[in-house]
Formats: sequence, structure tokens, C-alpha cells
Amino acid sequence: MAIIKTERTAAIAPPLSETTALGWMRKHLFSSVFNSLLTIVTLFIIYITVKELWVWGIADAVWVADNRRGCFDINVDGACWAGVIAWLDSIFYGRYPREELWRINLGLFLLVIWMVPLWLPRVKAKISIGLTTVFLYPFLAGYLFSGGDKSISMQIMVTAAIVCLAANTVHSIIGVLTGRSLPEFLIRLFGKKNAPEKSQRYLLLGILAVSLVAVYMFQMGWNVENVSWTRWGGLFLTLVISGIGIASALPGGILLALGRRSKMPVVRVISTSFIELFRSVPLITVLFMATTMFPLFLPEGFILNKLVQVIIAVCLFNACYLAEIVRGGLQTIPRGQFEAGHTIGLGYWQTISLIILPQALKHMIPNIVGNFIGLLKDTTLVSIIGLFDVLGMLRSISKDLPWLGLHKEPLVFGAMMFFLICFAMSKYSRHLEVKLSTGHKH
Amino acid sequence: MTGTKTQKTREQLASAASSEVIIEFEKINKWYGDFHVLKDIDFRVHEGERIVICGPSGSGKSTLIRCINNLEAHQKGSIVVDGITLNKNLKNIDHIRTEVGMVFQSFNLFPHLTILDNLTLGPIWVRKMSKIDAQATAMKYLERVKIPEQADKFPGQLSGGQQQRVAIARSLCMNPKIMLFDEPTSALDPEMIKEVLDVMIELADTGMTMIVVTHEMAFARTVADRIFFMDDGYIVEENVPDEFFNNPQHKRTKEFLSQIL
Repeated sequence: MAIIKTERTAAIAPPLSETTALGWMRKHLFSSVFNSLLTIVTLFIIYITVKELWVWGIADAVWVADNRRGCFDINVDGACWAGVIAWLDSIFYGRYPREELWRINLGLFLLVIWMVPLWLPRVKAKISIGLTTVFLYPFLAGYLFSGGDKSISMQIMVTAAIVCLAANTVHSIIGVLTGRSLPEFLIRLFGKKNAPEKSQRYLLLGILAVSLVAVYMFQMGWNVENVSWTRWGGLFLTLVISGIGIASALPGGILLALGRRSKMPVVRVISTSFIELFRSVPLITVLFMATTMFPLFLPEGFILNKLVQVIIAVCLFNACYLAEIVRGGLQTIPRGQFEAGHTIGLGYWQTISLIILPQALKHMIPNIVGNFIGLLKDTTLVSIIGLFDVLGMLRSISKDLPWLGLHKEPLVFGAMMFFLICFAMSKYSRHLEVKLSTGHKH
Repeated sequence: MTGTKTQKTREQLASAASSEVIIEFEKINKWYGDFHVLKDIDFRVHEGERIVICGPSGSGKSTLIRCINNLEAHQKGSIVVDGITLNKNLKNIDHIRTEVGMVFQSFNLFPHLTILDNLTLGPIWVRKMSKIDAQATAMKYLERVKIPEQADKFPGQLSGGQQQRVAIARSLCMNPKIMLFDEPTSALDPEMIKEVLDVMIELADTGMTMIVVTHEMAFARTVADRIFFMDDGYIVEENVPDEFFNNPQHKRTKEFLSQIL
């Protein structure tokens, strides 16, 4: 006998236990006697811990005092935040000259200005903005931070960076207001909208040349005092090292990963041994090698400062780790994607950059950001080889005469700082994953 | 008896061969390790011809079709496509790939791009078309495969049949001279097979040179100019559809047809 469904049931609301908070608690926290007991015990443990922390860190804490003695006079049991506050500048900027701190702030501010357009929806040409951030901003920032006399090449790069920053900013403002790009805007401004492509191009090149020359003249008269790298320190130094590490590790890792999968035996062997070598050695060893042994390989008279050596070591080390992450990502991409790319005529690099990498990197965002977070935290190892990064500064508080023996509070403060930065990064990675996911797999 | 049949077939083949040769396989041999997949494959395809390749799985059909655009490299023999010899020269391979479109069993759309971007990628990066022109072409072909309204969706949001039609449109956007189909309907639900076959039939009507690996015998009967039957790495029989289905010559062909018809 055939059964035929003739009526349709209308969709009805789910039962209350699925929607209300009380229902949720009942289902997840108090579903049985044992579960209820567990919930209560856990809540009690949380209460004890949090209460102790609260009393030590906030209720009994001392915020204003001249030295550690002063803290004790007010409350012996509470945290002595006064010491951390007194050292705040040093924790952030190390021993950078106090009257020059504006340079660091300006540098960071410029980075923000440079990168904000990447998040503005109507701005075009985001890839070139991103690329200039990686390749031009470091020169501008480098000069701002270290100052001194500029070599010719440095002058050229600083000029290019300033022009680029200005162009980026104007381009973004125009983009947000009108949705056009800077070249389109300029062409309209000069009434060349219908002119042939060639004359449009000449116009743009002319504007570029004029602004380059103008900025070059300007920057010749712009000089800031030299600040030796030995005075860099604190969170600033940590961010410089990890920032360069992050910016260079990804491209380096991609190249190494592709090299490892290459069909050319020489490239493959070199990439593989490079990756395996660096991955099987602890970072601290690499750092010691970089500062003590690396100079032996350099030609005589060619002296790199310790900071540059450390940065190179951090970059290479992390590029190798990222290479393995990227390789993992590449392996998640089915062979059909390569083949589909080839059949529409794309070459190797086009297939890789347009089809394979966007997918592979998207799959690997959690791992990549995880690696970046690790990198940020690992840079504290440089305090062992004598750079005063944020950890180095935090630890020197306890050796400062007024605050002698103040260990706990600076480290707790450092932990909070790291937590904030790392948590923000991990949140952002989660956001990226959601934003970039096209929802469905192939 | 057999002799006259062969004679007749040859004549019919000759009449189809009035136009230019566009694909030529000469003594093609290929091995996967020790396994001999293609054995002395020899054939010619003329411009505008529709070839269907069928045969049991593992007989080398897919490998053969993938040799045409060098997704698989052959080890012995010579392949000439559109007047260009396939060899280690990467420029030749790239050129042939721009002239030969291919549709896969598993669609292989780019999941991170919208349908429209899937279609414009090749024209923009390989044919150096402007974005506007490429999009216009893409919309034209999307209309031809009857899904222009899906242009802004991602492949994962489409049904299998729709994805396969997008894949066909993506190949057509490159304006190829030859289209290869590697079991285009094998991964589809029965309900969706027809919509894909309809698009392929329409394409055949435009005079496109097509080589189709498929198990859809009805399609082979109506569309094909010639049918290649492959078994164990050989093309064991090559015939026009009528003869192939009604009067198969080779023992293996007879067995195969009795299994599936």
C-alpha cells in the first residue's frame, strides 16, 4: 500500500530548554546531581582564586609611592604598582632618550596611518598598499628611530616612503569619499578623462616625478639626531624585532615551502635542509650562533650590529617554521585545483598566487597566527643575549635602587601586556577566518 | 564480410575527415612506474569532430585525454595539437593549454572566488583582457549555460549540475579550439546529468571540436561522430556510432556493450 503525505506541518518554535538562559543552565550545568556538584565546586575554586588576586592586585594595592619602602609603609600585603608606574616609560621605550620619544610615537602612528586603508571597504588597490607597508615603511621608520646621517640610498628610500605614504593617504581619502582610485581622480582633476592612455600615463608619471623631487629636497634638510641601537629597548624593541619577524617570515616561509615541493632537485634539497636545520635547533641557540659565530663568516671590516644579527636570526628561524605550516596548507589543496589552473592557461606562479595560496593560507590562518603569537613571545629570549627588550626592562626594575627586589609586579604587568597583545591577535585571526570563509567547501 | 564492414567504416571516417587535422597521436606510450597505461595509441581528430571515448575503468581513457593538454606527460611517441608538437618546451605546453579547454569529473572550480571571478580569471591573466570585457564575456557564457543569476555566488553554494555548467562556461571563456570532457557527469545526481548533457549538446551544435570521456551511451549515440572503445591501454575499436552500437566488431566491445545496454 502506498503512503502519501498530504498535510504539511508548519514549523514550530523549539522547546524552551533550547532558548532561555535558565533552560541552558539546567541542561549544561545542573543536568544531574553529580554535574551540579561539579559546577558548585568549580565555582567555589574560581571564587577563591579571583578573590585573592583581587585583594592583592587591586583592593590592597599601592599605586602612589616614592620607593618600595613607601609601598610597605602603606600596605605590606598588597601589590606595589607604584614601581611599575614609575618605570612605565622605560618598559615601553627602553633607554631611548626621553626628549626623542616622539619619534617612536610618530613612527607607530605613521604605521597605523599606512595600514588603516587596508580595512576601509571602498579603498582600491589594497595589495599595493600592503606591499608598500612591508617594503617601504621600514625605511622611513628605520630612519625615524635611529636617525643620524643618511646615505644616498637611504635618502632615496625615505623619499619614496614619504611619497608613497602621502599617495596612500590621499588615495584612501578619495576612495572613501568617491570610491575612485588616486590615478582616476588625478586624471579627472586635470581634465584628461578622455585623453589617450599614453598622455594619461605621462601625466601620472609627471606628478610622481615632481612629488619625488620635491620630497627629496625637503628631506635633505630634515635630520634627526642619531640614537644608537643600544639605547633601544622595552616593548618598542620587542615590537620592532617581532614586527620585522612577522612581516618577513610569511614571504620567506612561502618561498621555502614552495621550494620544498619543487620539482627541481637542487631547490628542493636546499630548501629542505635549510628548514630541517633551523627547525631542529632551539631559538636561543640560533640567537647565540647569530651573535657569536655569524660575524666569523662575514668579510673583514664588515660589522653588523647585534640587533641586526638578532633580527636576521629571528626571521630565518620563523620562516622555517612558517614554511612547514604553509606546506601543510598546500597539501590541503586538491590536485584538481592545480590542474584547473593549468587548463585555463595559468602558469606556475599565477596558479600558485591566484589559486593555491589564497586557499592554502586561508586554511592555515589559525596556525599562522599561532606562530606569530609564538614569535612575539619568543623574542623575549633576546634579553638573554643582552638586549633590553620588554622582559629585560621588567627585570631590571628589581635591580633599581628605590625598587630593589620588586619582582612580582613588573612580571604580572608584563604578562598582562602580552596577554592583551596576543589575545587581540588571536581574536583578529578568528575574525579573519570568519570573514574569509566562503562558507562551503568545494 | 568483416572486410566490407571495415571498408564502409573507413569511407565514413574519410568523409568526416574533410577538414583539417587538429589533434594527432602517433604511437603514444605511457607508463605509471612499471604499469603500461597507454599502448601504441594512434589517432587523428579533425576540426569540428566530436569524439566519445568509452571503456571499462582502468582502461586508460582519462590518461589519454589528459595527455592532450599535458596534464599527464607521455613517454614515447608524438602528440601534435593545433599544429604544435607537445614536448618538454613549456611555451608550447602553455600555448596548447590556452587553446584546449577541459572539464573535470570533480568540477574543480576555485572555491575562494565567486562564479564571475572563476570565469574571468583566465581571460584577464592569460588573455590580458580588460576586466570589463572579461566580465561581459563571462556573462555571455553564463547565459549560454543558463545560470547568469548565480554570477555573484561562490561555487560551494551551487548544485553539482550548476557547478559543472559553470566549469564548462569557464573553459569557454578562454575561447578554446578544442574542449576535453573527462567524465563530466559521473559525479552528478541523476537529476542533474541532463542539464549538463544539454549544455554539451548545444556546444556540439556550434561546431566545437570535442573529446568526451563518458559512460552516457545515449549521448554518445546522438552526438558523437566517432566512438573510441578502450580496453587495457589500447584503442581496441574505433567506429561511427551506428556501427559501434548495432554491429560492434571486436570481442571486447561486444562484451562491454552487452554489459551496459
